[in-house]
Amino acid sequence: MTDSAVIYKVKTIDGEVLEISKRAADRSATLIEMLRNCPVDDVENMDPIVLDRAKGTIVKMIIQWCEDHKYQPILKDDKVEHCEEIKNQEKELLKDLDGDGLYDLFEAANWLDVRCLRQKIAKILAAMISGKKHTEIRTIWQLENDFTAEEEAQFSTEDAWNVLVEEMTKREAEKVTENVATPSASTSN
Amino acid sequence: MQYEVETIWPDLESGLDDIFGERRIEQKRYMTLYTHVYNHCINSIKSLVNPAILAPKSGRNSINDYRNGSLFSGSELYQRLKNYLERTVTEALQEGNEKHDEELFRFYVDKWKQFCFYFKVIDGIFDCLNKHLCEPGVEVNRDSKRVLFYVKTLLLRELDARFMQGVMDLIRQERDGQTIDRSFIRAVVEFYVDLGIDENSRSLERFYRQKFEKRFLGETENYYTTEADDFLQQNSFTEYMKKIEKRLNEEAERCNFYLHATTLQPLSQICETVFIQRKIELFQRDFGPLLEQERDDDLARIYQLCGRIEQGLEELKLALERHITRQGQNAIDEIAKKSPNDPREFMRGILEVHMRYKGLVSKSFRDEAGFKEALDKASSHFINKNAITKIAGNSSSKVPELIARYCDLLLRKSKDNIGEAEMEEQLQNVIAVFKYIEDKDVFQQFYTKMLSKRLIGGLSASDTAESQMISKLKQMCGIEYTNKLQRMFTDTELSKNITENFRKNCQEKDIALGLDFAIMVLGYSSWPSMPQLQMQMPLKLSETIEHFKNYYNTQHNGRKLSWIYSQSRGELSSTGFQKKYGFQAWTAQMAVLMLYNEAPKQALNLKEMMLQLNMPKDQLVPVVGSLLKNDLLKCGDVAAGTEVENEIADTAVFALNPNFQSKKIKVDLTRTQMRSEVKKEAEKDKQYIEEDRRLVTEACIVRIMKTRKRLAHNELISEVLQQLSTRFTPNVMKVRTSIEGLMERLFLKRAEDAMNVYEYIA
Repeated sequence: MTDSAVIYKVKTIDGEVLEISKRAADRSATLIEMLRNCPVDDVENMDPIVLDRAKGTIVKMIIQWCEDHKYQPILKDDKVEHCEEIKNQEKELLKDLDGDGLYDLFEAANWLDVRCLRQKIAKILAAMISGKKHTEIRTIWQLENDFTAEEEAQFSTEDAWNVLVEEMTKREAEKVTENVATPSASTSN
Repeated sequence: MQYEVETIWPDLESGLDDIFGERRIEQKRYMTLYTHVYNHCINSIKSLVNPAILAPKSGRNSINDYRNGSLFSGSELYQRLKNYLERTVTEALQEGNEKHDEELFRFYVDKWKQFCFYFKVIDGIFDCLNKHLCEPGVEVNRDSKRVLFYVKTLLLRELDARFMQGVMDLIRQERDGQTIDRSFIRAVVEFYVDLGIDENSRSLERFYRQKFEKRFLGETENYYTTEADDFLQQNSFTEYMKKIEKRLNEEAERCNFYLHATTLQPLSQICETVFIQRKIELFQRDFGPLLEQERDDDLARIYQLCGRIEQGLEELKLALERHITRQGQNAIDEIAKKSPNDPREFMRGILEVHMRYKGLVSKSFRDEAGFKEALDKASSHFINKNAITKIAGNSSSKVPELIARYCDLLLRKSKDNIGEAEMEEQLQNVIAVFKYIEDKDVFQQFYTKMLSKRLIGGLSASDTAESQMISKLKQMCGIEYTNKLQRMFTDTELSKNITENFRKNCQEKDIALGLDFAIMVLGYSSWPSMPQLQMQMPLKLSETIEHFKNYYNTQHNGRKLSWIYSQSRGELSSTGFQKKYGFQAWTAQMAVLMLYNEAPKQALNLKEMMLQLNMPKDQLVPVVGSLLKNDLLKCGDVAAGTEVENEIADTAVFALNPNFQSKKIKVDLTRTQMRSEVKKEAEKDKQYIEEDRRLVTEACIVRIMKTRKRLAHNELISEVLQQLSTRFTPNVMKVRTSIEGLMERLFLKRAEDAMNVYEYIA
């Protein structure tokens, strides 16, 4: 049986059973490791791989992405220019996702360690917030506002970045002096 | 919280137990465990990430907290894992406590293989830990591999303590000559190497090198140091060398068979250091005597061994140089005692020594550059400064003279016909020696003179040999050196044509010369200066000369012919004696003798001769003297056997000797030469050389200054010396004098702004 002919079955958290070819499965580092560490003699009749951390829709998308990219070489370098066809496929896949969906997909990609997909989504997420004000980011990603009123005021008036940096350095310095005064148990590995 | 360490650890631990107990993990289980770890990692970060950077207010959530925090919670998991592994592995290894040596080793190897597999699985499960257990900005450590590494160190510590010694003992036994189980050692080595196999090959260092190789090399050093010392006490040096060779080969083979290939280099180095480097004085001490005893094989051995270490050969080269110089000097001392002036003996002596050591360098020292250089230096030394030159008063021209004379003997017609191949070989030898002559221009001087004599006298053994020699010299020293020689040669060839053409011309014009006439027309600049002889030619001869003059002028208008009677020869046939003798004679001798055709009572005094021949006295006297020596003339005023002095009275009477006898029909009168003439010639030669050198030096200085325009005194001197060294060794004083001479003649001047700097005056 050649590589490409081998098909694995996967079972999602909501009970769906899907199929993925070996080559596509190789895009997921986690799956590779697992298949290596728990070798199966009889692939055809084996139990489906249980992916009980991800919903069916998400898993479907991941499988789709892997299948699309299965012939791409796995490179360490992130700077890969894919051809038009692949780019189109990617767009198709990702265009309908909103913040939540993207987040879920991102998480699943991280869990299954599909590196390229994760990078891609990270880029998209970054694009989403680049150049936006903090208020807008909050809306997009539906984050809680845990600033006090005065801080809000601060941010609206001054250059947010500078203030932030200032604060950070202040905190840093405080922490250092704290450390010097009372040597805290630093975990050394 | 759901993903705290406490919650997930039991599950993980049972998973680990399963792995170590060789129970299969199913995929579902695996994914569960993996997800546990994943969730744990993510959550520990998540709980800190959100408020951390974005909220500047609370000290609790500063950056450091983030750092320490995630480390803290992830690291707890790591810590537990680490403890677990430590415990399990140490327990597993306890089993081996009862075993020894080979068994022990096998046990470790097996265990290691098992562990490797387990760790792969563990690695997969704890993958997230790998990725997230890091400080931001620092490269990800393959953490699980770090655990792996830790276990390896554990393993090796045991190994080291328990049975490294055993392995070393085995190797020692093998060196002592016993047979051991080599494949066992090979397995050990492979095991060490395997332990180190990692993503980066640097790991080879840690295990194989640090633990095994280091120990091994240390043992080797100790073992061989003692062996070397013991051996030398009991055996001779040559035996020692053989022993070294054997051991070196042995070690190379050992390394090849059961060590790692990269060990060969440090191993050889240690052996070489122990055997050779530390005993280098022995090598140097014994080198001299071996040279004396001509033990070529042993010399070759020394060369090979010393060549392995740095600077090993330097002393040897110097020793060789000294030795050859000494040998050369001795050989020539011998010759100097018996025949200091004999060119053949001189050459023979030189060649003997030179050839022998050339062979030695080639055979035993593989023609290595340094040794060849030693040979060259030594040869140059003993050829140019030896007993013979000392006898000649350290003159720099003795050696070139002898060698030039040797060439002359070679190239002259002689009784023994030298075949072409042998001639070639002899000439080759001459060139080999010529290379070492310091004053090559002196050689050129002598050679030119002798060549001219040969050419004029038709004494060359073979024209091919002559031109062979000239071309060899050209190869050595360049065209400039052999220019004149070449032209002399061509002049000779051309002259033959001229003679033929003249003869034909005379036939056409119906001129009867009455004698056989051959002429040599020589280009003035190419030939060495020859003494002019002023005299009146006998009638027949002067007629011929006139005819030729006319002929030549029609051929080459505008050329001036100067007649060199001093070099001309002729043949006289005589009827006045008991036998019909034929005399080979110089023209001057001929003229004198022909006077006696008409002389009354066959006697003449000097005054009459001078008048008739129009020859000055100092030129006449040697001629007459030579005839006296040959017994053709007799003089009352001169005692038999003495030379004719220049101060002899004009009235001294020389009578033809009617009783002249000679064993041969053909008598050669040209061989006799007055001693004073010889001396004069030598003087003139010397002067000529001096003059020539001065001119060359000056030309050199001008040439250098022209290109450089401006040069400091010391630099100029060194440049000049360098350029002239190919022709002769210049004397620094003389160079300085030349510089000053040039300054007087306004070629150079001193620079105004700097001391000791010269400037070229265009």
